[in-house]
Amino acid sequence: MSRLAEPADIIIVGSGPAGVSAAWPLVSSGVRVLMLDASGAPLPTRADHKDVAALRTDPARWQTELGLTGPIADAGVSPKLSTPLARATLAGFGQAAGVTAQNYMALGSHASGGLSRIWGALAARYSEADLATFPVSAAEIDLAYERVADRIGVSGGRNIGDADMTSLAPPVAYFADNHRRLGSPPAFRLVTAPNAVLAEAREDRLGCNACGLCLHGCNRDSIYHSALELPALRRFGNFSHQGGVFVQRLSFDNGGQIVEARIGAELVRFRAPIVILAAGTLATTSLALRRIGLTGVPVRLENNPVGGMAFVVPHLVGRSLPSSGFGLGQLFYTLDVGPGVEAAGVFYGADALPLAPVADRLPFTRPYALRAARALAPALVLATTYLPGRFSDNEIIVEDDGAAGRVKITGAQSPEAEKLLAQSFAELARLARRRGMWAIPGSRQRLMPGADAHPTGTLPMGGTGPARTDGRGELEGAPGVYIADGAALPLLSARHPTMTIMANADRIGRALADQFAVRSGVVHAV
Amino acid sequence: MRAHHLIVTGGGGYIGARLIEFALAQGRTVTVLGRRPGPAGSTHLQWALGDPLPAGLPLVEGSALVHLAHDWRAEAEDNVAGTATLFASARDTGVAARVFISSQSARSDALNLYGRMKWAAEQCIVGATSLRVGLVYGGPRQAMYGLLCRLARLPILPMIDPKRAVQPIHLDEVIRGILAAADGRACGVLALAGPDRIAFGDVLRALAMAYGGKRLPILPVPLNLALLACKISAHVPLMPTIDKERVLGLAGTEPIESAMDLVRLGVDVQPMTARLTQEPAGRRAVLDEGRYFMRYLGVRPTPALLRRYARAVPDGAIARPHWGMRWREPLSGTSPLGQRLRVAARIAEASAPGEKVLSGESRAGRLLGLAFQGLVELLLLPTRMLASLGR
Repeated sequence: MSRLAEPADIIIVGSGPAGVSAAWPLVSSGVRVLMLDASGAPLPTRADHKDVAALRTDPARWQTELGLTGPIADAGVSPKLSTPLARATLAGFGQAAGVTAQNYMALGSHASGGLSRIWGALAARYSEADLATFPVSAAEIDLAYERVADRIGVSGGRNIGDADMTSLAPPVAYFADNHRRLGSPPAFRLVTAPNAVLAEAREDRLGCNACGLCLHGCNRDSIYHSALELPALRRFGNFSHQGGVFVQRLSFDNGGQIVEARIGAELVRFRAPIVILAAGTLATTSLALRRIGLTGVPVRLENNPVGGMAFVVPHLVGRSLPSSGFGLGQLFYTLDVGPGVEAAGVFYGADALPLAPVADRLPFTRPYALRAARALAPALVLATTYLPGRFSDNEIIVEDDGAAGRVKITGAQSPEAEKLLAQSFAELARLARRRGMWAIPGSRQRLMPGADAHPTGTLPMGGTGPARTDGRGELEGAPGVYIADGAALPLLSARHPTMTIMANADRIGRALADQFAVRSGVVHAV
Repeated sequence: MRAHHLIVTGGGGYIGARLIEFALAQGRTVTVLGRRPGPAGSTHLQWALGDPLPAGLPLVEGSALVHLAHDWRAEAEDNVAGTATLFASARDTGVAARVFISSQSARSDALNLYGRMKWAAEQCIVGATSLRVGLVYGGPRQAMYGLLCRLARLPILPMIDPKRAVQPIHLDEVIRGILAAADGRACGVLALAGPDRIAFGDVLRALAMAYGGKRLPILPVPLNLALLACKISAHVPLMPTIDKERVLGLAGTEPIESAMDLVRLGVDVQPMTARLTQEPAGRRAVLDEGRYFMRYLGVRPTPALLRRYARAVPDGAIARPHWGMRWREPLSGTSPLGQRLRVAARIAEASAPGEKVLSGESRAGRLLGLAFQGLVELLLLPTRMLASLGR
């Protein structure tokens, strides 16, 4: 076993949104940070078409949409996860991490930037009530939200009343316009989707021009993903990033934390006083639970029970598809579905999405279904609905087996989740109907646990079980090991968690930076 | 010890030709014994069954004899005696590895003459290796395999004892086994047959599915009736003659334990269904399937799109309608046919020809067309339901 003597104060495992967010405050206060990620295999080259219309007529279009090889995904998988980019981003994770899953879609990534490579870029913030469950003050998180939003660039998030709606897909704009006229019932709050997408150019990234190619990897880098921040971090002399490092296990001795990793076929150990785990909840959980010897024991894993449904705006059926558009979420809503239960979700236009998944669900013959889907697409609005993580009931068991351990996940949802999803669907259908959209019968779909890609809460901050972290993310039973990703979330709200994970990681990084300044009394020169 | 030099009889046959091709590609020298010369790169010496090893043979260190020749027209005793003569002379001239290609049906009391003859020959070749080869498939469609391919194309197949277990092995796996025996990896009487026993009817069904994209209905026939049919076929002009020997050979095949022998020879036998999809005919059938589905969708299939289709369905062709798809399309999207159609639909949609078809026409034309075709869809529902039940 060789040893890489890279002098670092802190090792961060993972270059996803959490890892990068934790790195910034540390690096900018002079702490020496070594970031490790498993990236190695190249991601497919991004589509360089002018707009989605140019992609549609490109003879090589299928290569961008379906990839050169491999299975062609079935209807049960969100279009977001079936692109070649998504498949390359997710590839190899399950096997390398030794994951077996039952009734659960275990998603994780070895790509540089992690799952943010293919996220929906929804940058929602948690409500005050959500943040009240955190073992820290809401004000602290709010400050972190601001810092993260400044860093990554967030657009949208405005009330329908005072938003510019020209960028919305026609059927979504029609719905929003009617909503503005009718006004908002108190239980249903609708805003333009707060997206981590640049409206204006900034540094190396260009502003969004609504080309509609979002799904295949934004070729203007308007859509945020965390690997975009690595060049800026690398400009600091006290930051180094090493890809192709697959972290297998953590251990420790008198000298501090030891990170055992595999680089190709070679086993390598890294050493630092402190390790921050930000490898994505599933990988982080595997590393952390083995580190504290909590193996073979079921631990609660939360995810957002999620469903989707489709609406149609009849007078737009049969129109030609627009040549450009915005392929990510357009409107974001929260909906009270019970006392103290808030559902949340996103409205999408379908004009920049592949149609076959829509056609797949139509009971016609295939030739007719394809044509019907095409006629529906310009009139189609797709909506997701998410429930808080407390309605999920998954179990994760980590086994200390082999060099990289094994992870067993059993997915389940509380019976109430079914009921609440149905209720949310029904309520959305009613609200939409009054705003000029018809719910398409049979379009309601519940996704498998885990398909939301929001696994969280295995090591909750301020938790009471044996698997927990304290308010600063330090792992119980392993001083010096900090958890900065979704695993540490004390609560999974129905609102998409990425922004909150980033804010929390920023906060954890900041606290550690302060501690370093106090302890060492030395700030390393940049 | 590697056999640098192979002396092959029956080099023009189904197994022999492929063996020589393989051996030459591996850089071995090959001498073909027989009436006709072998392929370029091999040496030819005139020889006929009954002759000893020819005098002009260059006997280098590491020579091995592989005896595949069998004279269907000769008397049984002549085949046995000819084999004995050849092997005796090979032993006397110092050919260390002597390999006899026998049959899974080799038994003293085999139903077919061929099996009895192979058994008799095995008895008089002391110190040689005898490979009892199972049902060989793959490669050029010749010999028994060629016959099976033809039978699998029939609309309905009358068959004796379709549950009779056979042990299929791919031609290339047989070649690997023969070369291993020639290299002296193992000796004695060895079974070179698939380790799994498969009902003979299922072999034909697999061929019909993988090469023809169809189900093969099988009508079990008593052996006596089949032998009668053989007799008749020999006398009726224009009817393909069915060889009685082949019928008996199959009817009399008994299972053999081959797993240990395969390990000894170092041959890894893949399941037949997996290999059929990699055969040229299997690949063609998948492309045909994709082409039919794309045309059904009204989208011109380009070669690139068809290849993409083939890469998306690694399990090979499935049973599908070959006409009238519109009123036979299953209602469910989860049946194998429904899933494949969705794969094809996705490729069609993500293609330039598909875009042309889907984006054409004015809005009014599109909506009118959809309204009319919507009525047709309603009319198609009953037959589609029936077709779904049938599958």
